[in-house]
Amino acid sequence: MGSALRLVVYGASRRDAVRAWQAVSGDVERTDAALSRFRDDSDLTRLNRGAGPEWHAVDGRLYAMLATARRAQRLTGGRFDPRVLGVLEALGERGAALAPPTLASDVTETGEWLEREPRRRRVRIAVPVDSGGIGKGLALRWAAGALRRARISADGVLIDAGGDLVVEGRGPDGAWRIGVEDPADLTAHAAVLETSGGAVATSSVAVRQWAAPSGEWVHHLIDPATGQPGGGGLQAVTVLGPDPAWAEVWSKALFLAGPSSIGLEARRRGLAAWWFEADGTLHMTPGACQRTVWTRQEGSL
Amino acid sequence: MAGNRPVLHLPITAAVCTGVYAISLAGVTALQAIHEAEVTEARAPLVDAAERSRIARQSADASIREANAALQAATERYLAAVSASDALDSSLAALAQQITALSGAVNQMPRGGALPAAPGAVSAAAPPPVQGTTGASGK
Repeated sequence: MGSALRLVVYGASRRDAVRAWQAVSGDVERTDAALSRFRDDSDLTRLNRGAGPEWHAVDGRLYAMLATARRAQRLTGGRFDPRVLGVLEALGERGAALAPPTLASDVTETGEWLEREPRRRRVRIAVPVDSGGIGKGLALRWAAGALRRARISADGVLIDAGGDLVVEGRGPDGAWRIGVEDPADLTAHAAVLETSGGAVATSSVAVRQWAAPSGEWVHHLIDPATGQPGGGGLQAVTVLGPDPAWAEVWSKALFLAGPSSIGLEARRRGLAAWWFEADGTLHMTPGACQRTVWTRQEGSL
Repeated sequence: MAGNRPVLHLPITAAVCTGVYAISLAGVTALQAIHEAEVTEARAPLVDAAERSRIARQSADASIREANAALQAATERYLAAVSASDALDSSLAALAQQITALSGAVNQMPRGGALPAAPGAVSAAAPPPVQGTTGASGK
């Protein structure tokens, strides 16, 4: 995933902590081998190279990612769409080398970009797809599952994969306290939230920005509706939810909603969300306000 | 005498036939009644089950109606809450304008008159310790 992995285990023996790390890091490595588009040997890269009319038998994790991505596309009204990979590559964020698309359209003759055969775990995709915006969340979901299966004796755990986190149980001070990074100063927090279970994910343009071949300054959060970097006027969106994959999906979808729609959309869906406008103003939904224990500035609902 | 014999036999034969027919009819009727009783007996569990199913369906219908009413009430409350939230948004925007105006007025005030430092004062702005940070990722 190209992100640092960090595990905090509270109230466990040293031996259990080591076992926990082995379970988590091993599971994340398996997800990385399946879903990374930056690895030449990943299952996703192999599938992307075979995009077109052919069917492919795929790894279970890749199958689950594709199915979840299709569902996310439906539930977000198209704001989440893994087909933005072509745009990212054109803007200069390159992953493993891919062949040119073999289909003229980004959907097959059935009108779908993804077709599945669940029994034989086979898929065919019309165009190469990106695991960004969902892959890390799925990695956290599966790593937390691996940790539960390892039956570690601990009061609580926190898994952090490059700024997206999942927590269970209790932390050193009761609930786990998570800092929300200030997009204007990546060394500082703009807010602190408390939770004793669930996941926190952030979509931010504070780091992944670069000059496109055209010379324009762009970022990685692509609006499928325009094929351009979206969410103009927002710097970062953080979502707290029960599942890390869906927290990541919603943080991206809300970011792409933009500053004029994000509040209404987040409230309509009952999401606990924090977001920063371009001038650094922090906003939050009522659900997020309930979880917030500290802010650097007064946040607005 | 010999000429009257067929005349006498005919009513007797008719009476005998009628009797046999009546007895057969009674037997068939009895068998039919027994069979129907058996069928009724055999079908009783099915009839009972159908009745229970009907009652359960009525109960489910009632539950659905109640749930629907609850949903409608919740929807109305939710819409009212959204309206209240929008009103709150407007109030907050107005408050923000007032605060901006107040800030402007404060900036016009003289900057002298500093109070002496309070020994042992704790900054309320210090963030609490955290176990993790959510933010931008590299990739």
